[in-house]
Amino acid sequence: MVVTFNRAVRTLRRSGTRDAGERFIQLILLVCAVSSIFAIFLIIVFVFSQGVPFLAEAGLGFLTTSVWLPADSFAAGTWGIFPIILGSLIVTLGAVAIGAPLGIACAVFLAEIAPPAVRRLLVPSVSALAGVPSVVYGFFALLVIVPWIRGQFGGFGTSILACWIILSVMILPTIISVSTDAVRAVPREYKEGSLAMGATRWQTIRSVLIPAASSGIMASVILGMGRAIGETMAVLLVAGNSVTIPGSIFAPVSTLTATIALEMGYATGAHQQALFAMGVVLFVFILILTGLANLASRRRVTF
Amino acid sequence: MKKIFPIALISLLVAVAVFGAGCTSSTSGSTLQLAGSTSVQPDAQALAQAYMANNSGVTVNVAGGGTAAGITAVGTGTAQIGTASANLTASEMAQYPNLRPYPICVDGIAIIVNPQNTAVTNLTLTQVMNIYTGNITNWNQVGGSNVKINVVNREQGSGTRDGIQKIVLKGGNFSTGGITQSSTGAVKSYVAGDPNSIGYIATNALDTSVKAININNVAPTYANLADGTYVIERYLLYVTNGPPTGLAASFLNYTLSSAGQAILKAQGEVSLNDVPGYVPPTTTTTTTTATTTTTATTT
Repeated sequence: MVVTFNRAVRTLRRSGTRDAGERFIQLILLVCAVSSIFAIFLIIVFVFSQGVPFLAEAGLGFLTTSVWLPADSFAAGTWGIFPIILGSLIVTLGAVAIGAPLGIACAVFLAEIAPPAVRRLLVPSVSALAGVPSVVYGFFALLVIVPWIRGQFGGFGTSILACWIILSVMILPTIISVSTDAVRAVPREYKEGSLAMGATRWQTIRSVLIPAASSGIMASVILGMGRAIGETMAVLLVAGNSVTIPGSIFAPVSTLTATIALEMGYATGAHQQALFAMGVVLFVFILILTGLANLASRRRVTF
Repeated sequence: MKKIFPIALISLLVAVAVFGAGCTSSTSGSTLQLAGSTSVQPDAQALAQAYMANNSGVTVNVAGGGTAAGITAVGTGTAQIGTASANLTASEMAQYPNLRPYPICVDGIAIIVNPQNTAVTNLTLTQVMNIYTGNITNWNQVGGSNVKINVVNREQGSGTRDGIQKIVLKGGNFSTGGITQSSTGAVKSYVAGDPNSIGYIATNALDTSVKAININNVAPTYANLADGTYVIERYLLYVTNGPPTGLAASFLNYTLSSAGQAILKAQGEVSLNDVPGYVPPTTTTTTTTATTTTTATTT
């Protein structure tokens, strides 16, 4: 096998034109790689160039005050996105609080307990969950979950709770797949050692496997969190999008992504810049999350 | 290895073709681009279809995006006609001083409730204002049962929301207590599902899933919209940058002609010809159309 490969390489090198072809391909691949980095770079530059001047003009009040009455010019509008930031955080943290235990439990089951037949059924189902478009999730929630909440608890139905329910389902595939890999990656000896010392299966899972896989599990949770904070379409449909500090989990809420999507089509002048400034805030949030994910996945548990 | 070459070449060609097409396709002489208000979009689409049937070789594209996007599109030359469901704002006029609005029809906004809300059939304009500013929060304050009113709004920048803010709230601010839905259809389906809700949609989107409320004891019927006794109504506009020329002028003429107005009427809008006191412009040449219709914009 190796011999054949080496011979092939030698044959390629012998011919000058093939060598040029090789370099041309390498160049194309380099251009492709650079273009993807270039795209993210362009987006960052554009969002910041549009948003930062507005942030500078509006000052800290943009983040801490609560009245959002955008207008075409800075002076005519009232710019406070505190309820929107709060909404994004509440919706994201709640969705993770519901989705993470479910996802981790499912991952442990898939990696350790499930018989192969069950696994063959569950793994594709989880992948299918990841493949459902978010607008379909949102539409389903709007027609099924929202009326149920309205009937059970009163109010609008479009609420924090509706966002939590739908987002916790949407982040499951991320958490399950990354956590499953983390649990599978725990060295076999750990598990065997634990069982050999008389620990039950549950004790082994709780005291050995989960702690040993904790860095990967943490990373999965933070990736799920990133998915939740960035989700737009499903949230837009079920949040109610009211720019006010919610009084209960049955109250409508607005998030950064949904507000940007909702108002972008109409925004001009200062309003548009304010939406880009929201994008900057969102970007900083996601940077922090990505940083945390990197930290978490680097941490090691030793026994 | 050999297979990568054609693939790479093809993808490069595709990329060039896509970018190239994006740059050139809209500059063809026989294409008219409209963009703007989603309230005007179905009307303009119906007009465009009829117009294209009469004028072979001409393409009329109608895009949405909202009133503000339409103004920007016509101001920057992306579209030859912007469509608007709200008057031009001062800052828009400052940015594009040559913009000219042309009313094409009258569009009413209906205040809607759930059909199960049988107790409330009429509200005064002041009551609607107080509901939307948050001074009235319970249906029993306006003759209904003792339940909280679930107020449904459109998003910031929507032409329909803008109409309600100008006509009903007299420029005041909406209460933040309600929820925001992102389209006429979304408002309608929410109100159709929530017996305690109130919302607003264009009158031509009304159907039996929701109940239109009488305002000051006047129902939003065609006759009441035409003579102005139903007060929540506004003109829908075409906006051009400078006097319209060529295809844009021709399409505007067609829209204002009796055939065009009949199409708008079939779409559920009020024909300008049915508005008492409206003088139809004389459509002899494109330039006279531009000047005569300018006078009608002051309403």
